[in-house]
Amino acid sequence: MFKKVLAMLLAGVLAAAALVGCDSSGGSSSGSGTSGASGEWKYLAEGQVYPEEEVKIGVTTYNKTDTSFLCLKQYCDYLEEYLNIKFVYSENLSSAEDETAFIENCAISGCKGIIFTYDVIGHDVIDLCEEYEIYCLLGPSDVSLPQGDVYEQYKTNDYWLGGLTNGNFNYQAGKLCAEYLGSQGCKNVFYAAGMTMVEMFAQALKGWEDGASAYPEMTFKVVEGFPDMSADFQAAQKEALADPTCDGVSGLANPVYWAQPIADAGRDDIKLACGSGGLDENNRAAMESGLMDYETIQLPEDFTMSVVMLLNVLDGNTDMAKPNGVTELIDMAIIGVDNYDDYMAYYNIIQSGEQFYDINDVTSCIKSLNPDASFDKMLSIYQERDISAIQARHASY
Amino acid sequence: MEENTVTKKRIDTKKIFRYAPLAGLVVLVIFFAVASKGRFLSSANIKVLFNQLMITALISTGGIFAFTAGALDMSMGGCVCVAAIVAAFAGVATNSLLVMLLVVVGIGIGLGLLKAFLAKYMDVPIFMLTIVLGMALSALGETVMGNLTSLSVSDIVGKQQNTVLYIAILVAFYVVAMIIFNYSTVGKSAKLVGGNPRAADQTGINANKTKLYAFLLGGIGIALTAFIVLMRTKSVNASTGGNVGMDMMVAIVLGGMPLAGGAKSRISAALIGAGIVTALNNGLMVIGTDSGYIQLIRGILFMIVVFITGFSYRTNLLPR
Repeated sequence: MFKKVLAMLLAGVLAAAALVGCDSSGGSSSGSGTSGASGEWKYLAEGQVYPEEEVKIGVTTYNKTDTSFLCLKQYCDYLEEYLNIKFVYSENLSSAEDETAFIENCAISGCKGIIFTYDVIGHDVIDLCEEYEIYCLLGPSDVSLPQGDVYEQYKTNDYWLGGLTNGNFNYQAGKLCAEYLGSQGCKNVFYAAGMTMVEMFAQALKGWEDGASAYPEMTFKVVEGFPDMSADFQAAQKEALADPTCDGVSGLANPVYWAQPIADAGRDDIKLACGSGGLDENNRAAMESGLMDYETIQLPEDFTMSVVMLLNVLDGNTDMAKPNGVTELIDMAIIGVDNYDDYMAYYNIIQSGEQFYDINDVTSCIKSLNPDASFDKMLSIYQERDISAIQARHASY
Repeated sequence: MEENTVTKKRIDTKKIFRYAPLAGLVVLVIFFAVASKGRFLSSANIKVLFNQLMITALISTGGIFAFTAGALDMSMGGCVCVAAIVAAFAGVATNSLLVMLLVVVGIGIGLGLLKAFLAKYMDVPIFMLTIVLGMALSALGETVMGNLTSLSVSDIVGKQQNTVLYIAILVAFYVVAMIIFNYSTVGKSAKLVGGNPRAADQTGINANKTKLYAFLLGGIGIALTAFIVLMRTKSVNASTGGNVGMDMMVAIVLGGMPLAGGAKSRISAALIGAGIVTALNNGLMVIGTDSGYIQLIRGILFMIVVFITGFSYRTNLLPR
């Protein structure tokens, strides 16, 4: 009896601690956006609070521990510091039911828009957002983009703002990895395909196959799964790494998941090309140590254009999202890096506390703050990929 | 000897535990209503709550019969997955909502029969059997999807959420299930079989037949759940129904259902538990709780309820 009571008390303490630690809309926001800007920004006066009323923005994700999501969140925290916005993140979405419930809950909790970094519902998500009067924005990962006839059907939908899409990011990632390994003379490659019933992995595989078609002498074996997944995958991986003719491995998985298998197999010679997209310490260390030879990078802040479009639309400047009256889908090029110096050029921007798109960039695209803003100017800022050009732009403000 | 005229009132702990889940639901609703400054009980959110309640409530109502009979059915997610996917393909091929409904009912009942057959002829604990079956069905769903990442059925089911229809389906199914559970020999037999299979057998109750009926009713629950999933999400993919099984388990335990089934089982656990899960998920988001904490809170509450349920569950029947 005593043990049961003690267990109950412990559970109660845990529950109380969890509830005390909860974030609450009634409490102070994690950002200081409500206290106004610090005065060092060109389009935001000191003490100015923009937008006047807090704007909540939902963000869907598949995996909250994923590197690309963590980079995205880091940048979201930066935006919250200077703008009066709050990001509401989903749990790890794994089904259409979860996604539907998240959209509904976002609408009820006052979110004005949702950025879909992960989506399983497809174009029906636009109808759902329209029903709940919440704007639908595209994020920096593959979503089930309306294309062809479906795009024509939805392009005038008021609640679909489109956005900066790396809609074929994963296709590009797969293609670039294949082209890199092919150009390096790899002849026998192991490709970890992830879960191909999910759009992003299906796109990556298609990209891989298209890229590999330019190197007919390169054979490859496609295996479903990831390095940290099923026993079947791990067995296939082990077998491939033990094969002395296997000279390349690739996939969307983070390089950290390859480190142990490659080390166990004693295969320092093998070429690793990752479409993992992250600019973080794990990837940096992998590039520095030589574990990873090639990585495709998407700038984690690419999705900001979606935020900017939403804020403009809420201000009544719809032309900043739909300049021609229809939803625009802008494919962004991703960056392929095959050496440590180039990698560090991008990495250092984040580590130094700078941003690829700092608050000057963001606010210069908000028409109510900068009357000279236009959709084309916004596009040119967000399509700039060259490090030196980015730094020159920041210096010019 | 003086008579002791003082009448001592004893606290009826059985009643407390019996009504604790309902009280918990009421407390949650009041808490969220106050914490959200009324937003939780706005007409828009009530509609959302009913929409979100449907899937868990339907699958729990159907699945509770098997649980009552002591058969821990872990295959519900896989069953919903296959039923929804096949029905979606059938619906798209024929452009008919009726065909979709008929297919989903057929598959639901078929899966119920399959489970009953396997339970009877395979000498393996049912929970293990259904875990494997669930995995196999999920893999089958993935195979049926083939290269498609998702299949839209919005042209067949319509683009809006039809909350009134969902409620009508749930109410109708729940009323029928309640009558069967409380007043029919099927329900009573299920409680006895779940409480003590040996004693039930010696009173002439056929456990296999009871489980057959339980799985069939579960099959109806699967069918209706799959149908509502199609209506709500307007699409299917390989992960459809993925969380349904776990949500059902959490719901019926939070609703006060003993995991081992038996005489203390209550059909109301399905509805109350689904209500608690839905209110929790929705309310925590409405008041602005970080998503990381939502799972933690759910887990802790589940732990507490399981603990309390352990306190309260004492079978009046002979021990097994």
